[in-house]
Amino acid sequence: MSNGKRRKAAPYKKNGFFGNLWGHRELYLMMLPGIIYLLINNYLPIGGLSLAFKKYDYSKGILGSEWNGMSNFKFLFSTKDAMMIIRNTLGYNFVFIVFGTIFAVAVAIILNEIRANVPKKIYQVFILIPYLVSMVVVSYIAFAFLSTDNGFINNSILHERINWYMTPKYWPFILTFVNLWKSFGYNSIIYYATVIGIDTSLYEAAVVDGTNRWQRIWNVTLPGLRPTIITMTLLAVGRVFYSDFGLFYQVPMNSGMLYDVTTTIDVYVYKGLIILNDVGRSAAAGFFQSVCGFILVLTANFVVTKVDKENALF
Amino acid sequence: MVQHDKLQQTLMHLFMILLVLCCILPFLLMVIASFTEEATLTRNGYSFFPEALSLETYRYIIRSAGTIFRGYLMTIIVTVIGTGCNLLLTVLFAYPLSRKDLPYRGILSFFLFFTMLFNGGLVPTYMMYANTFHIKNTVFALIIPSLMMNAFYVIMMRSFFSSSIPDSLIEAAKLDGASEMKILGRVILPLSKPMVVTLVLMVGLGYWNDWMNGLYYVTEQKLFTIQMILNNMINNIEFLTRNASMLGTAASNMKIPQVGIRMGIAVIAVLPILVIYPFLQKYFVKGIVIGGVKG
Amino acid sequence: MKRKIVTTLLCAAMTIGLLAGCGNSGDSGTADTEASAQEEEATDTKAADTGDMVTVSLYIPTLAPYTDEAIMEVQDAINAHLAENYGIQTKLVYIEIGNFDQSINLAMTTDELDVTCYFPENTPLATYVNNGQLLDITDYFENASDELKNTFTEAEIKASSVNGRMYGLVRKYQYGGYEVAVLNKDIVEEMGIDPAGITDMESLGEVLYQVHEAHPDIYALVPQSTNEMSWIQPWVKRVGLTSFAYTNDLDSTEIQSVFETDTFKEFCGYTHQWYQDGLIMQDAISNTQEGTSMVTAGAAFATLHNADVDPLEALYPNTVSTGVIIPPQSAPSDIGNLQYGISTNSAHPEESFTLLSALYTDAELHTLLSFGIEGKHYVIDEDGRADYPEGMTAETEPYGGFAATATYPNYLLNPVKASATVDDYKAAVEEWSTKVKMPAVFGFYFDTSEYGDFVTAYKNLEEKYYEPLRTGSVGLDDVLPDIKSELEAIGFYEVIEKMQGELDAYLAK
Repeated sequence: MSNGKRRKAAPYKKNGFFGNLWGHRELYLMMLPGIIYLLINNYLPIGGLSLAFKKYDYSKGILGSEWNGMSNFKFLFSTKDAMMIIRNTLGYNFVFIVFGTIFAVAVAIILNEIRANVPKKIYQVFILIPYLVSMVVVSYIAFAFLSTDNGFINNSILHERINWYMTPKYWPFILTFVNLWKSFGYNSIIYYATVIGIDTSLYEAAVVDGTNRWQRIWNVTLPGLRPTIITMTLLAVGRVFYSDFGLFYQVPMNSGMLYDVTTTIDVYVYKGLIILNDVGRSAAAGFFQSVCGFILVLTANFVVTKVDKENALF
Repeated sequence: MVQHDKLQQTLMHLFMILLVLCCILPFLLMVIASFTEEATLTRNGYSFFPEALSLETYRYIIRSAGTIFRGYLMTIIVTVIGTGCNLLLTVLFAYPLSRKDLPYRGILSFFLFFTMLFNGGLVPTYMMYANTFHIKNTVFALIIPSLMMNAFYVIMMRSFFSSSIPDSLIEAAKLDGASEMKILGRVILPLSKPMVVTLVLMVGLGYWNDWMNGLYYVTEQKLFTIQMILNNMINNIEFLTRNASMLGTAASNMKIPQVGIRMGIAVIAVLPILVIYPFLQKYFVKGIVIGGVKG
Repeated sequence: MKRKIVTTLLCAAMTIGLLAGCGNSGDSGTADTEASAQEEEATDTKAADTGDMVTVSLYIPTLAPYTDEAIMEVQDAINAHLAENYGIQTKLVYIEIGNFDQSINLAMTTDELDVTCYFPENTPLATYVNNGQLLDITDYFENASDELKNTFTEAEIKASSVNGRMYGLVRKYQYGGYEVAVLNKDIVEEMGIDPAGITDMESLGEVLYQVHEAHPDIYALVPQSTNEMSWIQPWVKRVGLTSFAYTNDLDSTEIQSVFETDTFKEFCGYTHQWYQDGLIMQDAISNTQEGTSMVTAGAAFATLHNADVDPLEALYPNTVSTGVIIPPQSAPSDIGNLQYGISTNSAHPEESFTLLSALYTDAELHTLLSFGIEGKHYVIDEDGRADYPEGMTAETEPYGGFAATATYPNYLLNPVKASATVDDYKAAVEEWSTKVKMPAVFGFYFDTSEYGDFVTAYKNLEEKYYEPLRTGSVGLDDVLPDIKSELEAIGFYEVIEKMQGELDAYLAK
C-alpha cells in the first residue's frame, strides 16, 4: 500500500509499471475492493497451508508448531482405505462430469427446439427447483423415498422390502441420480442461455441450405456451445479431487454398510477430524486436493490452448 | 415433414414434462409428509395419499414461532445484504477484467483464479476472523467469510461482459468523455441484466442455504438463521447416534423432533425459495432473451 | 457520482481493515494474545466495580433449549455471586451439543475459550493432551482446597489424567447402568404380559413374538435411540480407554475384537433372528427417532433402555419397565466420560482454575448455573425439592439446565428434584456405586497416540459392521470372515497382542 502515494506523485509516463497503473487508475480503483477482499479472505490465511507439513500444537499456534515433513500425507496413501477413497472421489466426479454435461446440454437443446413459448418458460422454472434446496433437505427427501419400512419406493412402487441403506451396490446409481437430479437444471439453464445467444443468422443460413434439425444441432448449436462446455468442464476438472460432503455423508445417512462406496476424501477427512482432532491432516488433504486440482486445470488449460486458444480459461 | 415435426415436438414436450415431474414430486412428497399424521407415517409409510392428515407439525412450529421467525428474519437480512455486497464486488472486479486493454489482466485473472483452488483451510481462516477481526457473534460473521465474493461468478460475469458487450460501445462512450464508472453504470450494466439477475439468484441462494459460517462463528441464538436451526437439529441427532450413552438417562431429556416436524421445518425453509424464485425466473428468462437478442 | 463515493468509502474501509489485519496477524500466535484480551475486557465489562476483574469464559453443551435472555439473566446472577466471593467474572457460552466438539476445537485455537466441557469418549483425553489443547492443572489441583480434593475418588482423578498429569476434572455422576426393556403399557395390559418376568433376551423374545402375532402393524422392537440397539452391553468396551479393545464380560481379562466375543455373538444371534422374523424395525440402521417416543406413541411395543438411579416410568408416560436384562455394570470409560478443563490458550489460567474449582465446591454457584434463578427457572416446593415453576415443562422452561443436569460438573451439589425417588443424591449415588460391578480391567490405560491411522481405520471398520450387526440387520456368520480379514489388514491383531502384554503386566502389579 505504501506505493499509493508514490503512484500519485509519479509523473505521467506513457509506459512502465506506474504509468500503466496511473493510466488505468479508474479501472484499478474499481477492482480494489475485490482485491482487498480476496487478499483478506483467501490470501491472508494461506499461510495455513504450512499446517499440512506440521504437527499442529494448539498451545504453540501455527507458527510455533513443529515441522513433521510429509507424515500428515501418509494416511492419504498408505492406509488400506487410501485406494478406495481416491477411487470413489475420482470415479464419481468423472461420472458426474460426463453424464452431467451430456444431460444438461441435451436438455438445453430440447428447450431451444421447443417452439411453444409458455410451456418452455414453465419447464425452465421447474427444472431449476432441485438446485435451489440444500443437501440437508435432499437427504430428508431421499429418506422418504428409500426408507425400508416407510419409503415410497418400497411401499408404493416395488411392494417389497429392499434395504437400500444396507446395500452398497445400489449407491453408485443413487448418488449419481441424486447429483444429476440436483444439478442438471442449473447447468441446462447456463447452456440454454448460451444457445439463445447464438447468432440467429447462422440458423437462418442453415435453414436456407435445407438442412434438417439434427444437422442444424450438430453444425450450429453444438459448436456454439463449445466455449461454455469447455469452461464448465475445465472448472469441474479442477475440482475432481473434491466432493460434495452433503451428498456423500448426509444423503446415505452415514450408514456404515455403505462406506465402501460412499467414502470420499472429504468424508474421510471429516471423520478422521472428529476422532483425532488432527488439524494437520485435514490441512494435508486440502493441500493435496488443491495441488492436484491446480495441476489438472493447468494441464487441461494447456491442452485447450493448443487446440482452441480462444476458449482457454486464462 | 410437418407430421414428423409435430411428433418430434410432442416427444420433446413429453420428455420435459417427465423431467418436471421428476423435479417437483419429491417436494410434494415432503410437503404431504409434513401434513401426515405421525402414526400414519410410521404405519403406512410415506405416501402421496395419506390416510390421515394432521396439522400437528405446524402447530408445533407455531408454538416455537419465536425461534423460527427470528431465524427467518435473520436469513432474509443476511441474504439481502450479502447478495448486495457480493454483486457490487463482483461487478466492480469483473468489468475491468473484461477490458482487453487493461494491463496486467492476465496476472489479475490468475490472482482471482488461484483462489478457486487454494485456500488456507478452516483453522487459519477461523483464527483470522475470530482473533483479528473479532466478527464472532456479529451479523458480519454470516455475511463476510467465504461468501462475499466468488471467483467463479466473477469469471462468469467477465465472460458475459467480454462476449456480449461490443467494444465499440465502450469506445463510443469514452469518446463522449464518460468516466469508467459511468460507462459501467450507464452502458454496461443495463445491457447485462440477464447476468445480474442470474447472479442475484445464485448468490442469494448461497446465502440462503448457508449454515457453515453460522456453525463456525455464531453461538448466540439471536443470530441463528433458519438453515442453522435445521442443521443443528441434524447435528444433534447425529451426536446422539454417536455417543448418547455417555450421558446416561439424562440424555432422555433431549427430545429428537419427530420425523413429521423435521419435514415441516424443511418445508418452511424451502418455501420462500419456491415462492420467490418463479418471479425472479420470469425476469431471468426475459432478461436472457433481451440480452441475447441485443448482444 | 453517488456510486463513486460509495465505492471510495468501501475501498477506504476495507483498506483500513486490511492494514489492521496485517499488523495483527504478523505476530499472531500466543505472544500478543494477552494484551488484546485484556483490552477486550476493559471494554466488555459494564459495571465499574467489576471493571478490573478478569472474565473467564465457560463453554457448556446444550442438551435442552435455552433462550439468550435466560442465559444473560443467569450470567448476571452468577457474576454478582462470583464478584463477591472470588473476584472474577464469567461469560457463559452455550453451544448446540451436536456442534459442540467442532466449536470448542476451533475456539481452543484462540484465547476466547477458558473453561470448557469436553467428551473424552468422543475424542480421547490423550488426543486433547497430545494436541496441546488442555492445560496441565496438576499443580493447581495440588494447591487447591481440601474440599475440592476430597470431591474426587482416586479412580476419578485417574480418569482425567494422562501419564500421571491431570488435565481436567470429571463430572460427578453415577457411573454405568443396567439394561431393561421399556414396554407400551396399553399392550402389556391388553395381553396380560408380566413385565417383571422378562429378565433376559430369551424371555423378551417370547413376548415379542406374541406381540408381533397380535399386532403385526406395529414394530415389536425398535432401537433405543437412532440406530443404537442398547446402551448397556454385556461385553465390555473401551478397555484401556481405547475405542477398539473389548473383553467378553466383566471378569474377563482377555482382550478381543468385539466381533469375536461370545456375548456379542449371542446378542446378535437373537437380534438377527428377530430382524428376519420382522420383529425389529427394518429401518433400524437408518432410524432417526428415539425408541421411547415410538413406544409411548404406540408405534412400537418395546425398546431396550438403560436405567440407573432415576426411575424410567417417571420419564416416559404410558410405559412399563421389564426386569433387569443386563445387570448394573460400568465400562472402563464411564468414569470421566464428560469432563471440564482449561484451554492452553487461556489468557487467565489462574482465574480459570478458580472458576473450575468453584464449580465443584460451591453449591450456590452450581445450582445457579445448572438450575437457573430460583422462582424463575425452578422452584423449591414445601418438601425442599426442586421442580419446574408452575405451568412450565421441560419444553417451555427458558433455561434448559433444569432438564439437562447431566452436562454440569457436579449435580450432587444441587437440591434434589421433585421427580427423584431418592431423598439424597449423594447417598444414592454412593449406594449405586457399591452395586455397580466394575470390569476387571478397570484402571488400565493404553497409550494410542502412536496409532492415529490405526484408530481411524478401526473406527471406520467398526462403524461399518457394529450397528448393522447389533440391530440384527446383518447376520454375524455372514460377515465374520470379511471382518476378520479386514481386521488383519489394518493390523488389529498385532495391536491387541501388544496391548494384552501391557494389560497382563498391569494386572500382575
